[in-house]
Amino acid sequence: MSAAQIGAVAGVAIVTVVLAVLLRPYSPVYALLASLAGTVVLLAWMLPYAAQALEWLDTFSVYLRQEEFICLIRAAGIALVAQTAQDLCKDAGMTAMGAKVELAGRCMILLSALPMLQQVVDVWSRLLQ
Amino acid sequence: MDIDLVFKIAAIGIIVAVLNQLLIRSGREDQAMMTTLAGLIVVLSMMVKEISELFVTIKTLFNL
Repeated sequence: MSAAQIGAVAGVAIVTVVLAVLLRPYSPVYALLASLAGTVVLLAWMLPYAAQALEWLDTFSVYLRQEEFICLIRAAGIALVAQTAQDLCKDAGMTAMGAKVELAGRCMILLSALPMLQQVVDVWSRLLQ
Repeated sequence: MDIDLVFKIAAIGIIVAVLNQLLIRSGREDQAMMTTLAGLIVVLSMMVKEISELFVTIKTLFNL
């Protein structure tokens, strides 16, 4: 990911924002859809680079057991999707919906981390006996 | 999945807004609402395709 591409990302973001603001007085629905489209485009454009970062992290997974590493990656994915949905809800002015999406994201991350928590509790209980 | 998705949606938005004003000024409010609805359905169907493609990528990448 060379430095020049950050200019492309900024360009896409600025163009999307300008178009969304242009559309807002006429029809707010299309402004929201334009910002949603911009978000989807940037996210889809960024994912291959995130894949490279994840592959690089794989080299560290030797220290972690496999399922711990998968749980870590899954939590990052859930957080990414929940954060995107929450910010879009807030853009549209629906803070309550955004809060619910955030709550759901937190619950799912906690749920995916429970097995590891269980292991920690087992280790501690064996130690303290 | 590149920038012209945003341009397409902005273009549809502007065209629908202009048509809307045109129809309202000529006294056909109901048709104006129909036009807006039609434009909305077109844009939403485009967006659904892109979003589903994005979620499949995220699912495979973060093995959710």
